[in-house]
Amino acid sequence: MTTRRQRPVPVVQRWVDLLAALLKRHGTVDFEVLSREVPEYGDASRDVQTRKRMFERDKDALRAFGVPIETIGGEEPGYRLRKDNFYLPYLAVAGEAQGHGPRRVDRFGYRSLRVLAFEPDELAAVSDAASRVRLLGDPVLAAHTEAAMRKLAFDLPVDAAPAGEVHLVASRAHPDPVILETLSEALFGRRAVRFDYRGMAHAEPSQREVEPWGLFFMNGHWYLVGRDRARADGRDGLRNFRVNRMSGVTTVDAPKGERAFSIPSDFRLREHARPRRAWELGEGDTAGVTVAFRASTGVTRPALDLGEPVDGAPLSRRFQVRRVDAFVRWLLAFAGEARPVDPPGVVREFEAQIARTLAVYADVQTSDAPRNVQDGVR
Amino acid sequence: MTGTAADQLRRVLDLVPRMADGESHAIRDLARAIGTDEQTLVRDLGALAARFDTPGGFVEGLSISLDAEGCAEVYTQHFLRPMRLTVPELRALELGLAVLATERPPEELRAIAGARRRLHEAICAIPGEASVAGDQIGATFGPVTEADRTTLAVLRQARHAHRKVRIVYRKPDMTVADARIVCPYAVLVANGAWYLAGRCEHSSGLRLFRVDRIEAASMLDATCAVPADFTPHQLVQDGRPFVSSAPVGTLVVRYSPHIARWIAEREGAPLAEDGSLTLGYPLADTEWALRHVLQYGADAEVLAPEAVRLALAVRLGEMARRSATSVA
Repeated sequence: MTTRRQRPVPVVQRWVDLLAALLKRHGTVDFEVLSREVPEYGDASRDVQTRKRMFERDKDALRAFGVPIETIGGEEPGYRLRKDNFYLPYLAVAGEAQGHGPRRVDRFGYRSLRVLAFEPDELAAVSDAASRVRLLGDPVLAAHTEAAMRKLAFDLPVDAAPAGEVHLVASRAHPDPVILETLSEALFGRRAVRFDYRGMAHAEPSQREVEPWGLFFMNGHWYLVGRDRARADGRDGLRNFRVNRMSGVTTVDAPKGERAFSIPSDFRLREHARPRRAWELGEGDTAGVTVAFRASTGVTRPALDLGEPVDGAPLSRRFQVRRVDAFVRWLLAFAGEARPVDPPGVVREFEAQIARTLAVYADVQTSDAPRNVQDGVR
Repeated sequence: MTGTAADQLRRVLDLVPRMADGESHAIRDLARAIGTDEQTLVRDLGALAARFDTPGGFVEGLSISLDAEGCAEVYTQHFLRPMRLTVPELRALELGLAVLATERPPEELRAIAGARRRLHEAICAIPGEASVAGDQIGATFGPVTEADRTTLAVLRQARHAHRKVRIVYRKPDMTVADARIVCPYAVLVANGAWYLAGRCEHSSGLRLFRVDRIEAASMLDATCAVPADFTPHQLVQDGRPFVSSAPVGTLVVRYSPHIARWIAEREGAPLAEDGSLTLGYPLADTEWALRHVLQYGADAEVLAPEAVRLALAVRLGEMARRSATSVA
């Protein structure tokens, strides 16, 4: 044990010392032993409690990094880091006699490590999965993906460089990567975030304080789903926020090491973020609407796969609609290839929308445009 | 843990196994391999030996040499293999696999599930933490039907094998589909819609085909190659997929203040003083223009060309008559 104060060393030096001290042993090791191998823990110019706290901080930091350090025992605990829990297994491609496998066997032979074999199509799926994540524009996800692929590429023929057969045309309203990074870290650390939100309903931004429950990417945009603390209690306050409409995103302080909130165990992001049509959104009751399509064209064919079939009418479908206005506009976009036929209220709304739109072109001289539907009342 | 220190540890654990094989390595190559720059790499190596005057721990068994040719060598008895995957790394790849699972046909889901299982076997198991599953981040590029999944699989295989495909394609205004031979260059996703980009033999040019309008696709024996100078950007105009061999006009649309903010956000354009928005679009197809404008009802008005205004008035009249007739 040294008796003179050490000059400050990079924290990473202490961490690798601690890792090396744990990894070179098969069994547990106590603080006394560690203090002989990590000079800062054995610095006699500091009291032992200070040095133990330093060790605890380092251990917690390494565990947060993902290092599976085990604590064994109570009063005077021992610590253990098993090689097979820490080092990547030897990776190979199944069924290739002289194919790709561990690139080299290290001189000391981590004999406790097993061989993990990927099927070729599984390996291809991993590469394709990585290429999908790279397209999402989230720097945190991208960094984790690259780190993972570099590890796999140590033994396997995976392409660690960006590539892919699918190209995502980026939205113009793309979010700031720094904001995505802040939100990702807050999400995984269960920290609330505060931000100014420029919603579409109001011209001026409003400040929100939100507990992040998830992030999802849909139709070219990132969304934060979270509980808006000012809006309501419990799940009633759950809202979606488009990330590119946020500014000034900061993490709300929370007691060190504590999680500021918890996410209900029955919350399912995948269900919450399920793609929905505009007419399915909202909380109200749904109404059945029958739509007749004129023909199966390139435009209507995908729509004929939606909704439910109507007996005896192959070109009709029945939809469950929550927002009639959004549904009617969707039908208008077929430019005459689709029209509602039931219930009468939806038919009237459809005709009224046609009349209002036609009124916009009242100055256009046509030989057959009817002039008797200007106000939507027939 | 500070981000900087954690990043440095991540780099060190990535770097040492690549260096400690008894060989000399070019620092430039190493930096590229671990996704950093040469200065950072040298700084990381320096951090490992910062306590050289009071050796102990890892540094005691470590030797690092950097030569004048820009090569480095490390000798150590530790960290000779990379660390297992961390939970965030697993989550990132799982997210990608989940995206794939929404696009691939049923017969490919087994491989995706198998990949997920292997990755789970390669992660660091944290004592005391029972679950490493995380569905806190979700993603989908766009809705894909069962039929589209099969189409996308054929297109992917053909592109990978440098083979042409035969597609049965139904144009927007056609009730009958026709067959095309296409050399597939790429698959594009824009605003949730999927497109095949490729050279169409029928029209002897680069074309885009919406995947949901492809009724069948099969890979042919004939080979083809993607031109070396092809980039997907060639197929994007004003932020949306667009390619046309016909003369292109301009569709001018005014959006009312009621909806203009949404459009302005999507298009990255400023609003007028009255809160409205006027935009121009490349126009090669009047039917597309009608569909585009009608989705906004009376909140979007075509200002030019006059021919599209006329077509809209006529079409709206027909729609009104047809609806009235069917109800009567």
